[in-house]
Amino acid sequence: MGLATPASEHPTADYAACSGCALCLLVCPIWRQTGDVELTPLGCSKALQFGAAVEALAAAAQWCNLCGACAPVCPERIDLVGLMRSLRRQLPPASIDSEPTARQPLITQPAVRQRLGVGDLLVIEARSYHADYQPRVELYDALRRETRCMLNLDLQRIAIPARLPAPEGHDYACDDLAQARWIVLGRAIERIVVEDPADCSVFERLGRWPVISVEQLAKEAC
Amino acid sequence: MSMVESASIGIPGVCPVGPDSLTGISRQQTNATRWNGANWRDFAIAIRERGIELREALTSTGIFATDAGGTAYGLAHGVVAARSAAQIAQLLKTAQAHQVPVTVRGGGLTTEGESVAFGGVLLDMTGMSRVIAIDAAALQVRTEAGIFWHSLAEELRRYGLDYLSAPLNLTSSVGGTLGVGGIDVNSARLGCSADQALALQVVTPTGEIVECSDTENPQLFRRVILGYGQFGVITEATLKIRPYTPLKMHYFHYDSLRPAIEDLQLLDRNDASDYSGILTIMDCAVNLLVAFDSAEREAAFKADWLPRLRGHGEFGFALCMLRRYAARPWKLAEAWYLWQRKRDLFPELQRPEYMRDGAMLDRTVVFSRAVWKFWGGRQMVIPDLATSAPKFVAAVERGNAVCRKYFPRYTLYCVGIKLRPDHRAHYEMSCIPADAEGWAYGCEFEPVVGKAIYSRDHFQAFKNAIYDIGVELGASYYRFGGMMKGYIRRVFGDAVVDRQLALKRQADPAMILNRDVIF
Repeated sequence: MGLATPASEHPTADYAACSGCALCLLVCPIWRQTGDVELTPLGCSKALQFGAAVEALAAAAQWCNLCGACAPVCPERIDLVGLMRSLRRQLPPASIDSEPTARQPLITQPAVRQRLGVGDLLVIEARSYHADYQPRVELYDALRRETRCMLNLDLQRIAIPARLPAPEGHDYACDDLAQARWIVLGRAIERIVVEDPADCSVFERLGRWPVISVEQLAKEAC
Repeated sequence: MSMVESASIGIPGVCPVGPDSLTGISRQQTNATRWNGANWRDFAIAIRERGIELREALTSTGIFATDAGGTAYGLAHGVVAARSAAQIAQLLKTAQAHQVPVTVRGGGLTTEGESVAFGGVLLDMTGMSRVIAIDAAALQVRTEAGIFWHSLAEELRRYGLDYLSAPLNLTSSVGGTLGVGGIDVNSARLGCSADQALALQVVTPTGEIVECSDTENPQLFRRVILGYGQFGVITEATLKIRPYTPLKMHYFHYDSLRPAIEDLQLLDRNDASDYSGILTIMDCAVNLLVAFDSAEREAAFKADWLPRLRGHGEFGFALCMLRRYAARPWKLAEAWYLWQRKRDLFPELQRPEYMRDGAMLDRTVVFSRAVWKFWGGRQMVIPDLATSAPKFVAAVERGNAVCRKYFPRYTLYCVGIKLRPDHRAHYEMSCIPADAEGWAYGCEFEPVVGKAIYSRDHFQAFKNAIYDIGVELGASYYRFGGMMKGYIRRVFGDAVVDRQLALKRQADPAMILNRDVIF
């Protein structure tokens, strides 16, 4: 399986192309928790179109967790992740975030797949998934059909991240527990399996289901 | 003092809000009927004293400088993010006292500047996007009204439920839709979105928080539903819902409009399908889409109605096109466009991640993404005609001729709307034409602008030509506010408009709420 997004799907445009359709807003975890358009790539794009200075977008740059959910849904193929990265580089304290991993996810291993089943909620690591969106949509769709596990995908097939940043000095109570509750809402879960081991603690705090990482599943398989 | 500086500290300067102003360039307000910024400073102080956050920086107001249409530009003096009915009540009371206009915005998917603030406050309703309660037994949901239909669907689907009908656009808001209508491909069976509202919490223009429904404060309910935001801000809504089902979609292809429309109406009259609509590539490739929630309904359709349809399948239509363009070789460029468009668009409607066992899982996701990808852009004009069933073919054919005259490439989208006889009072001065019985029909005429550049005058002339047809036919429009409001008296008549205006003046003494949208 090739893990390369087709060239036709690559983001190529900049913020000036934003039509304001707000499809990116729907999938932005920061907007979902704060309801504040200004903290989103949409808000940044429209503000920049209207002549805002980069400095005025500091809060949005701080809040963005670079999960990349916005990029694959943009019909104008705007490089929204690139925009947010660029803002973070330009604004103090300058921070350059590591690129998402491009390696094959562990769930491609047959032994791991065999250990997933009905009742498992697999929490996909959002950044890697969105960075290589179309191939991974197909990969995880096949996984779901094969194992009948549940996935933390929304109706647009965007991965809902489990953890959010909480910059200091802001009014919003943005917390990981609320995010985790949203992921599990209404699902008939027996076990939670996370791709990113750092997500374990968030779901463990819910205190209702056993939580295991895919890495641990892989070790068990060995 | 620069505009940015004055805005940041709440001092009104020159009102930078001309509807024809260029982005980022402030200019003197020249329309005497528009609000000129009077009382803003006192209002801003008063609103902050009440603990309401008012954002005046250009980074805040600029986000909302235009709507989905992208042809009307205006700046609010300040933006308030909606947080609660109590907060909105305070805002409206203060605005009444200071005579400051308040423009309410949901998804901002208007095309005529209806959700653009030309000065005053822009109230961003998306801040109220919480689902309050789902009653699976009674098949009802109570939600805050700023929520996008898609966000509502996300939550309902966790419980195997779905809304009844909503615009095929993910970022339409519930409140905005209830105020104007809302058309889905199942509206011919289930009615418009506004008709699925059971009860509303409304903040009136004078700041009272009122619950209303067909039985509680029914007069307010009547005015607010399809009321274009004139009689209150919808803050919560109780809606009918239903069990979720994926749908089986069929496409029938026609090479002209009339038989496709007649077949659409045949299916609607006989309740032969669960979903129906027409989506065209110009007037050459006319696609009747028909879909079903259950295998039983699909089987009944195949047995009883399929043989009567005059549309073709893929192969038959390809032959049809071959014949057509073989006889008209000078139109090969058009044929090439049709082929390209079909090649690009149809796979998008059948992406495997949204299909399971041949059924479409999320129609709104599929269609909305396609709409924005293939028709979206910085500028969109979508004039429309809404007529009674008997007038519809004439309306579409005449509108199509206008499209051909103004644009080389365009799309038509047609659906029926089943009317609720008990809601007839809701329909006065709305998208439902007064002479419609049983069903109303709507057609949107959307040029495919692409990278072409057209002047505002060209767009406006096109819209006027379409709307003139409506006046002549005695029709109505989905979009008659904002830049098209000049047609309101022509199409509805003075008696109706004056009656509505009197009600508006009574409900909104300072005429602050969504002023200039309709009246």
